[in-house]
Amino acid sequence: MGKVYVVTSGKGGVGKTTTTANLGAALANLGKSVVLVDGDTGLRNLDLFLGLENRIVYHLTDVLERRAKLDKALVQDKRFPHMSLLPAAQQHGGRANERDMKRLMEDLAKQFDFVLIDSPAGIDHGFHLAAAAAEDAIIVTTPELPAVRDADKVVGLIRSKGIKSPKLVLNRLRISMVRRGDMLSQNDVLGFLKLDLLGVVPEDETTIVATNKGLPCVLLPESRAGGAYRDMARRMLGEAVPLRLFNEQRGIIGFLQRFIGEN
Amino acid sequence: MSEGGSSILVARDRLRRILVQDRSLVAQECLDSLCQALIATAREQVVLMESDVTTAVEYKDGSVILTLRLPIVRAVDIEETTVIG
Repeated sequence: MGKVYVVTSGKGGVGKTTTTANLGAALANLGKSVVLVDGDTGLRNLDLFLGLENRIVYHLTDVLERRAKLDKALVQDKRFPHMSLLPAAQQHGGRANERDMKRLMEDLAKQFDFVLIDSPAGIDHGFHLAAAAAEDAIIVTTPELPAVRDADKVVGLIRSKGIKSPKLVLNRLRISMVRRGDMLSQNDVLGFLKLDLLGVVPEDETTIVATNKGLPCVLLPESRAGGAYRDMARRMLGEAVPLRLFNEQRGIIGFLQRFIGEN
Repeated sequence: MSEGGSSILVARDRLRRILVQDRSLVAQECLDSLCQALIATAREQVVLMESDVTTAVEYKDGSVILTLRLPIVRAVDIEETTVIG
């Protein structure tokens, strides 16, 4: 029986979908079977992050409302033999209930080692639907006040659903800003949210390049964000993987980066 | 950047206040009033080490917990109003 995670944040635009796609791809690369469920009905995007947007026929709402069978709606990612996508509908509609969602996730957990549900932003019906069907949660935030505030709100809601130990992914950390005292550090955020840390993702332009190409950045060996997600996947499998220190480049490039305050 | 070359102290203070307010579901002013009332009541009985008094609000098992740390120096003498700062 696989494990069902909801990937959520409260605030939009902090990297939920990027995190879902990359953790899924990293777990699949480690030989685990994974299904990614796009829970953002009406605003689907997980297909874009995976480059699967041209292969969607049926979607989550079709399955929940019994217009399509589950195996017809799953899109197999050819780059990852063990990874599939259950896309969201692109039109808002239907009113799936938590009982049907839970049953569907249980069916998926029988077929896959990991079920990762990409929750919509906010704390409306879509969030509750995604959270109700999960047994564990990954909270994504950035080191900014609005994102941490919304994450704190979501942690309370997640705990009220019986998920006692949600994990934290701190995204888009800029070490140079932390060092000069203009960005919350990972210790600051952990101190406020009091969660177990799954990983820290540095600000990294390769995530944008990867999304442009429709591939997760874990496939780019030079991607520091990709490396962070690969580490997180290993932690999800129970390995004790130390946090990477995202130091600036050494040598003349590093000197110039530090000099101009960019990293 | 704030005065002093860094904005992080402002961010930490604002975030702490925001989270206390959000978690307790009451306005910051109400929470401050409640804390001050509790501390004033304690002062009637004991002398506090004012510099070490702290307040915190946390969620636990679905409940909101307000924690006051009130380090006691000693019990007050009758009609004493002295506070150690």
